[in-house]
Amino acid sequence: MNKSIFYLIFSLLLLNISFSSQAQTSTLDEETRTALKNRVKTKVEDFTGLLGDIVNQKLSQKTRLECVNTAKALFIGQCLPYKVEENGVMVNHRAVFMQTSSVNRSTKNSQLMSKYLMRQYEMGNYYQISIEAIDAIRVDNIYKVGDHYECMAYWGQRYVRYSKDGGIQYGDFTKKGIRCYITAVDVPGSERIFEISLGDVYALETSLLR
Amino acid sequence: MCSLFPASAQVMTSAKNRMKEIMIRDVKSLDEFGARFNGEESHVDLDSLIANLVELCDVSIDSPESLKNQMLSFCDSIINNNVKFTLLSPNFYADAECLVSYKDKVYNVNIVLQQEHPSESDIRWALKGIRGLVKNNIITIDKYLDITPVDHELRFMSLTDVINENPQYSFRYRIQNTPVDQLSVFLTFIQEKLMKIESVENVKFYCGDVPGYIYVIEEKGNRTKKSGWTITEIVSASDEDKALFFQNLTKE
Repeated sequence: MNKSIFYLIFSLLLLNISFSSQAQTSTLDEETRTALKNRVKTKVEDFTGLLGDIVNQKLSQKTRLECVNTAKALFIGQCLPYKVEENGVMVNHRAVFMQTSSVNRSTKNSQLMSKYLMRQYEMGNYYQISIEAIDAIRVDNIYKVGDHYECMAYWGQRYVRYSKDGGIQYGDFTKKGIRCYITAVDVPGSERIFEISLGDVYALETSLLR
Repeated sequence: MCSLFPASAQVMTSAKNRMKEIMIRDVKSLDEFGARFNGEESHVDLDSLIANLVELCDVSIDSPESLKNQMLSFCDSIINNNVKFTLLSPNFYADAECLVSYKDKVYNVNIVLQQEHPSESDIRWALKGIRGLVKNNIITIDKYLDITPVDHELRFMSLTDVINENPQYSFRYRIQNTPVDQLSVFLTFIQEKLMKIESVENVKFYCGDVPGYIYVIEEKGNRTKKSGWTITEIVSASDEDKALFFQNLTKE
């Protein structure tokens, strides 16, 4: 009797593993792709909204710091270096980067996302900063990459630094692109769950605010 | 620091709407470029494929008249031959201008990539070639040094002499005109941590799918007119020209 139970459990385990493998390699239907694109858009909007809150001096320091930690959790590896299994080997990945640009600089600057978020929270010597997303306008097609999916999303970001009298010290408009990761997880006895994580953010182009 | 000008809500709303208008019209990604090229999407102000194709061409190639005529012939060729844009085309190459560090110096090299299907459902970019190792004298492959013609009598003892003592000239000891796979050299340097890619400075895409032409796609930031991914160069090319061009793109 114990042997029968053991074989039953073992078979169920094998079945679960094979279902999971199938989920990882199967393609997405159009309805699922559209739903995922909308979810990616929402995730990016979550990030841009949190970024605006992190620099918002009207919020308490505690709230703004909570926004930093919430924002970090949106990203793959939670903004730390991570490893992913790919074709039977563990591939190392660095932590997520944020690329920034300025009309006053000819080169773009890349830094760890965790550092960037903390710097926005600390805000240096600036009196007031506003970071606002114009719109997360476009999510590109979703591509299968090994055992997960990836896509790019783009939005326009307005960055403004104000002086004490409410005037604008500096303002720019940057087109941003962000890499998005979609992983499928099969839950036994339930529907397939998709998890979305954000990745590197690229500053595609910056122009002076006018 | 003094403020540049006082902010008013009306000015900010107007600027925001202007930015949104720009974002909608911008070709924000190659994905969007391809969708407009293939007639799957359209610029909001246009309603024909030919108008969309012309709009995808940068302002630098729609004048003077000679360039404009070439551009229009190029667009006609796309429509007449029902050419579709796809990153997976064997005639589509990415040329990434990179800075690499090697022995405490930084050099410009070009890494060439193509997309491929490793399996039916997967797509990947992969390295196709590299240019710059010879130009920067990181390796020298066009001169030769001798292994003594009597070395066989010494059971080739000088291999442990001349090559080990002159590692910087190691490529010069091969048979004349033996091709050097520079991509393999580059990847070995990377594997052995002798070389590191510091940054990608610029990316261009070359495509030879339009009959009679090679065209170049780059990202341009001219916010007063067209901006985003646009066709910045169109060159007339026969099939032979194309084969030679793409062969030279992937090696020095």
